[in-house]
Amino acid sequence: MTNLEDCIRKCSSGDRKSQTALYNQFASKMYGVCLRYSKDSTEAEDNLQEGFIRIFTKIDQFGYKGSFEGWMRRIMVNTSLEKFRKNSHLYPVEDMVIYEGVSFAEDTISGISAGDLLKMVQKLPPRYKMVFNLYAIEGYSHQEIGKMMNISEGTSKSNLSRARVILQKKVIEEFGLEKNTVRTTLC
Amino acid sequence: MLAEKNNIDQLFQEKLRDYEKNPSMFLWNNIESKLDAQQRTRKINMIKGFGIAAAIMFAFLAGWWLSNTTLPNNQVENKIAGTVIQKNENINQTNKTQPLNQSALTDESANKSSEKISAGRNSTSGKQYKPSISSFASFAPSTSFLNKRSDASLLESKEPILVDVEKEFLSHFQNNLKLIKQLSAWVTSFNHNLKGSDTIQGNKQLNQLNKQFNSNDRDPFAHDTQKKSFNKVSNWTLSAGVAPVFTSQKQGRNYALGQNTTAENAVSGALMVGYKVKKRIVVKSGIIYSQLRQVTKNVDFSQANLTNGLPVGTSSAVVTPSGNVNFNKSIVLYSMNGLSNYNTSISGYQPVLRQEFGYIEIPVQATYKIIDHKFNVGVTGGIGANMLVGNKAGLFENGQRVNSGETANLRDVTYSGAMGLELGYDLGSRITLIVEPRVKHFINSLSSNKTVDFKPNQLDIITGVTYSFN
Repeated sequence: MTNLEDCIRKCSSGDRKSQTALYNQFASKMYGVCLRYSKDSTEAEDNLQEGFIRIFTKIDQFGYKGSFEGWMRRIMVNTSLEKFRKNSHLYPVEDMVIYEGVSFAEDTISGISAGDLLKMVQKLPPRYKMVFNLYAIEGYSHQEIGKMMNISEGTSKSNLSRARVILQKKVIEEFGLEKNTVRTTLC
Repeated sequence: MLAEKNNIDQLFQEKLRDYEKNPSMFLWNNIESKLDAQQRTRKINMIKGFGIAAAIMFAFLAGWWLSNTTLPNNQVENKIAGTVIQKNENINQTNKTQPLNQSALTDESANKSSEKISAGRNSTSGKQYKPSISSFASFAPSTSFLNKRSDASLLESKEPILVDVEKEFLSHFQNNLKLIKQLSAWVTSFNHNLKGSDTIQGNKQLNQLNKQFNSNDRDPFAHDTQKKSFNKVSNWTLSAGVAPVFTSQKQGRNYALGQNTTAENAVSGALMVGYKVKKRIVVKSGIIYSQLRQVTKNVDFSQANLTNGLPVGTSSAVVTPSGNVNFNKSIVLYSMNGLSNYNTSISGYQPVLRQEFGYIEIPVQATYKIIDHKFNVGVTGGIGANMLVGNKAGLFENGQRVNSGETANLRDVTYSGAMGLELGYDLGSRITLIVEPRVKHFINSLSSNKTVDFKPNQLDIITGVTYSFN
């Protein structure tokens, strides 16, 4: 941790070696984040590049209070969100849908690779992808997502339901049937 | 919130929360070059800031200087008196036959001292004397040279040159005092005359004395100063011109088969100030803006991160003789023949890479005139500091820009040497038409990347006019 703190301090003074070291340490993790919010690797790399430039520009604002990785991750998410907001007028707002949850067999889950799931997420419509990532993976509430994306809480819930329906359908199609059906909606 | 989580959320969260993948290996180059660009922008802004601060400081100093040279007469008077007192001791030692009244000048107060000069003079005559305002005011402008320099430095410095200047001033001051003495004598006699003699004749005498005094009033150094500054100005020249720039460069490393990088012609503009140090030697400096351009065909995308199928991969950098070009966006590559030549679109157009660098050169040149007649010929040589002010790269496909970026690792400042000819034809007494073919060689590589040896040679033919301030 001390090494990381030293590295961060040197980065804030513009030390290029430390910046390279920091990039090498976190690039793959942050690229993983960017990939989830992008439609393909090209867009993800653009976001990663912009995100790292922001990190190095604002690194002196990191207060050493929480996890540095978490701070970087938030910057990457915000970078992706900003790009989404710029184009948000292109994406239609969907109505609320009813989602029927399912649970999958353990052996089915173990047979699914992260790469396969990533492709499914990347193929989601932009708004669904954002909401699903923020809610299901990052753990934000619908209220928080509404504020971040400048949409209503209801829209966030609706988008999440849509995303789940699409993803569930894909998983079932590609990897097999569910064990049993969960009866309720989730939003 | 946890209750709301369901199986599909958990499935994706478990698998993707800590998902990692290595990005394209050249992404860091892009980030590095962007950070460099940010630093450069910061530096430029800092230089601009310093420039503005210097301009403000200059304006302030100029204002201060001007306001000091136009001080009210009584302030100038005080300064002069003070200066005379300070230097008086030295003068006493060297010249005991000083015509001034020394007892009056040893007073500490400058203001009082000028009065005491008069008072002392009165005491020698033993009669009342009211100092004439015109007499003090009249010698005040003659000391303006003191105000143009720091009074403090004159007071503190004991350099011989300053003592000489003051001696000269004092001799002028003494002349004025002689007149004051005459004036004082006349006032005394005038007072007597007022009691019963001719006032008109007295006024005539007063006018005559004032004229005599004012004729002596001029700055003893004014003539020399004017002469010197006239000579100075006459040696200056100002030149302006534009030039086509032809660039050649060697390729310092091996590149992809078929890749072909060539330099393109560009333009430059120059604004130079010259100073004639001798009859045939002129030293010049100024600003020259010049461009370097190069075009690469059969672009080498060898760093493409290949995957199976179409598109074959992505790339964000291209290797050129001047270093890597990093693009703002990754390029999706397609292969038409399954080999290493990639296109930027499925349509099969071969992309062309264009690079453009802008430099501002600050040269220091010396010109020796071999022929100095109406048609004049000179040889020129010098060195220059080149500051990078532009760095653009574009990838074009069928004439359309498909991506843009910049060349990585270019130095902010590089140094060059130049030599050439200066051909001139006098169009009048002040204006000369000039043609200056000049060969310039970059002494150090334009790239800070040690594997890139990019030292182009340039030929520019500056065509313009020179204005002589003679």
